[in-house]
Amino acid sequence: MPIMNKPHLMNKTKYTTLGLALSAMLFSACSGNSSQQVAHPADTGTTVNTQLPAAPHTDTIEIKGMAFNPGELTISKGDSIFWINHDIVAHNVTQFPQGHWKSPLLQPGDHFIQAFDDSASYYCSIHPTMRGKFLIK
Amino acid sequence: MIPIKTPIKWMGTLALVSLFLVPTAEAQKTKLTDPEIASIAVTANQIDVNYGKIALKKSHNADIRTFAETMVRDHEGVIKQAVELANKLHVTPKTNAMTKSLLNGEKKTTKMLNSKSGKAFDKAYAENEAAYHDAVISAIKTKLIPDCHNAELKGLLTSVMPVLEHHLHMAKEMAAKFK
Repeated sequence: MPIMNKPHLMNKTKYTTLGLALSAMLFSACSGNSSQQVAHPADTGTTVNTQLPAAPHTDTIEIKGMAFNPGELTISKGDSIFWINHDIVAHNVTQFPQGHWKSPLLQPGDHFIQAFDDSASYYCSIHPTMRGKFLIK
Repeated sequence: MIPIKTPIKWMGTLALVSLFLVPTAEAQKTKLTDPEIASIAVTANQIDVNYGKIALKKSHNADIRTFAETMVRDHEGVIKQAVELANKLHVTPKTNAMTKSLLNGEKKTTKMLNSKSGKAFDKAYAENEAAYHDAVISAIKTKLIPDCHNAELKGLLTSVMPVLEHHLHMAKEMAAKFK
């Protein structure tokens, strides 16, 4: 089940899309490590290791050529998935088969981001042969 | 392409549609220009939008209506992208023999669809959609893509192919229900 009740559909401009994609990638890159090394300003060159819990991560799934790429993904509990429509026609992302959650209609260039606690299969309800799934490790 | 056997039932429709889309040996020798390809691409998409609108007006079958809505949405989306690209490339679509042949075919098919109602209409619409997509895919593969000069226009035609193949798959499944 999704842990964000309100899916975020951003505006349609490519600049915003690109900005969010870059932010997601940056966030993803910054949050990839569970361990950080912190330097204190008053220190005389010594460092302290602090173990932080793994921060949520964001993975990207591209919609292109009437398919979700990658079609299968393994994520950690609480991680987000960022779907971006690079196809020539509009699609959506709908939980399969009950439709417990669903993105708005994603026009070419639109994207949808949501965090998850449970594994799920999904499909495009407009083009039902387009399917994907993600597993929580 | 998704392998589904062509049902004999709509082979006749396919043959009819092919007359308007599959280039003759003579036409095959003559290379299309990019403005002509743009015209064919926009016309072929618009025709399927028009068929979809007829289905939404005439059919009460939920599957047919859902399919028709998808056809209208997808083909209008492709037209939008094609027009945007043509404007960007300063290509003015140019009417040609293939465009005229497509429009001639549309007139006949529209008349045929309008003459039917109920289940007979649903069956005719589904069979025509399967035949039309099959013929359009063939024309793009064998004529439009090979003749296209501009890389971006060729890219657009190539990216349309998975959409058309998906439509064909859906149309064949739907047509099979009305056997």
